[in-house]
Amino acid sequence: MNIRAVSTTLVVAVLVIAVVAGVGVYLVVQQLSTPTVAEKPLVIGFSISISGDFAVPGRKQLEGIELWKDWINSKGGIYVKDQNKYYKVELKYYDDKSSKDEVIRLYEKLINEDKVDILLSPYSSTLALTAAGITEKYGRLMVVVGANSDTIFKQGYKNIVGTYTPASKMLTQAIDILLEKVQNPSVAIIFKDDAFAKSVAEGAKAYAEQKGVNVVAFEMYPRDAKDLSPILTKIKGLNVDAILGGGHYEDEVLLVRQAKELGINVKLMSLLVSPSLPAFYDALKETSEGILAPSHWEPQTKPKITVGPSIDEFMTQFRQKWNSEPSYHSAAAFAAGLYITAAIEKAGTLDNAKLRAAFNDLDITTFYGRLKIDPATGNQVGHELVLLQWQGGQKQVVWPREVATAQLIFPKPSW
Amino acid sequence: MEAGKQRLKIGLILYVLLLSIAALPPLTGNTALIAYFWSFLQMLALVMSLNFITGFTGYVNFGHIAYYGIGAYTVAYLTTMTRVDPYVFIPAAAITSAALAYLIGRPILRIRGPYFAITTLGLGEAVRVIIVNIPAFNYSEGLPIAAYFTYNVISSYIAMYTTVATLFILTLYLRRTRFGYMLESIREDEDAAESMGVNTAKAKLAAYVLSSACAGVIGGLTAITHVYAHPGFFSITLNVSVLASLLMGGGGTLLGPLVGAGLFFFISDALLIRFPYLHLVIFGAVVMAVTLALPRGLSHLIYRYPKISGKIADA
Repeated sequence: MNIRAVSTTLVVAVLVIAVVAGVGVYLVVQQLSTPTVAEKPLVIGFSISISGDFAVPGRKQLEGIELWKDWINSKGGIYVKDQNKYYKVELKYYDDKSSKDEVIRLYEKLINEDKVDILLSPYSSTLALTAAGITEKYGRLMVVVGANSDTIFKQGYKNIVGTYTPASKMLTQAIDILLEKVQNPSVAIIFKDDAFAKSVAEGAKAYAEQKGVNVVAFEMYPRDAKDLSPILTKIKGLNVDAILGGGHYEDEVLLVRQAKELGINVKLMSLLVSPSLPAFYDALKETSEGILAPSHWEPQTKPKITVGPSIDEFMTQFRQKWNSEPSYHSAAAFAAGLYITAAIEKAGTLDNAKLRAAFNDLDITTFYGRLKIDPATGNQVGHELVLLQWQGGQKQVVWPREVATAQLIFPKPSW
Repeated sequence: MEAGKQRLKIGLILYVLLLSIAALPPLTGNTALIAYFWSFLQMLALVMSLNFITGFTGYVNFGHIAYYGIGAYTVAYLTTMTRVDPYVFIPAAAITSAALAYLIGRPILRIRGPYFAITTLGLGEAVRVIIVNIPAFNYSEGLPIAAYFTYNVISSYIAMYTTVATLFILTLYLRRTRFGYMLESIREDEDAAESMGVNTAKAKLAAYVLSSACAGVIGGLTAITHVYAHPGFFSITLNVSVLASLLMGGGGTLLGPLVGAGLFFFISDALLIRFPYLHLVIFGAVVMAVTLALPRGLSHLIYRYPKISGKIADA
């Protein structure tokens, strides 16, 4: 080999090394460079019922999301890896007046005009089912909060993620209690004509029959029912051990009032939604005594948190901001925000399809409890319910026993 | 040139203009613009279809929405059953709505004037109540169809555009043929028409069936675009909006529905943004003012100002 060839090889080698090293250093510097704050915020869009039938729980849900927004922004925002940027969060929402037509119009608007980054569902299964159709047709991710009808997750949609325990499981704990306390119990299941209540009722009926409980009445009442006495009169004649079911806030309060007026006394009464709301006691006072309901969350629970604030922090900040008590609707909404944050941090991108995939492997525990989905349907499988009971004007957790704050009152006192 | 012809000519020009402009949004690929124009075309189509019965024969119809909803449910139900592309079932929506309109129309078209209006007012609600009690239609939850087909915003737009174009041709046909004159004679004086040898019962029924079949098609297309048929389709508010637009624009004309739907859509939208709570009150006042000042609709202005409209028509 002559000197010329050697030197040429050397020069080439040095150049190659220099380029490789340069690229390497550049990449390392890129990695180490401090992330910047994005100029534009990350926009989370949704419609929410500020008026109409779902206004009471809808507002509670909205308060939870608003608080999460403040919380995440106070932490500097959400880090998106592929852009090496921190995003501040902004909410874009409209009042859907609890109407399906409005939901369709507003989700079209959120996707096409407002071009929001991530969508949250409206409150209630019936509206979430409507919104899910729109987000699905555009192939956009929607985190479903405040809605858990199994119908939503049975459609075969590929872009939804649940945060509530499925509706079909909501009355199983009440049935367990009944089986423990009463021999050969009989129950009446009554429910509103609505995606959510129907899933709950069907799930409860299947579970009860499987456990050998006698379901003597299975009655649906119209969505706009202003009088439930025909159904209740029928149930009175059946002399059941328990009444299970309901729908949402207004109709459940009506159900309790009319059951009292008709003097229907049962050993156990479990509703679905209203008892978890502070407004329930305000409306019914001592009539609420002994009424049970499943709850997606109560502040007395003590999960082993892996992500987000503690329950105490949440409670303090919530009371400070809203001057009222949170319900599970608020807690789940805040947790949905934490869930989205975790997915973005895991996926490192805002690409909706990749985010949806990231949810499949997420298993986190927030102050609201555990969150983990079934990858195929997006339905929530990690989260657990508690059962609450109104006792002397206080909401107490009575089931499961490990987290109970008070003894179950059984049988329910007479009206 | 006499005013009626002028109006027809202005109508023709405006429709051609509209159909040309409305052909543009899909080319831009801007989904927000397409969705906005789709909503306008849908409103226009509803007003044009109601025009066949209410505009031409003067039978005020509050039950139009019943056939719109039936069309929506027909398409959604068949889609969930067969998992075939929902557009295939648009003819089925037309046929179902037409068949029901025939059965319902025969008895109720014997009733005249305000009595007919009241009867139809009950119709939409009756159909809704029946539908929310049918298990196959999932009670009051309705039928979501997003999982059964791949939605395409352009196809949805083209379908509604074609519907408007077809309704335009149908209206033109009614304005120029014997059948159309028969319907108008019913509006002017039904007894006189009958004594002149017009088979009013048959003519009214034909107009009602045609109008309802069109409503069925629009309902079916709306169910596809909303990927959902639900009881909200039987909305009396929508029916009143469509009727108000028609009365405001002028029934029984080609120009009327376009003027009415245009005013309704763009004004109510602008009002909604500016006065979120008062927009209905303001809009109601506008409708009242127009009806008082121009009982035959805004398109009747041409009779008041023949010179100006003549110039427009000649231009």
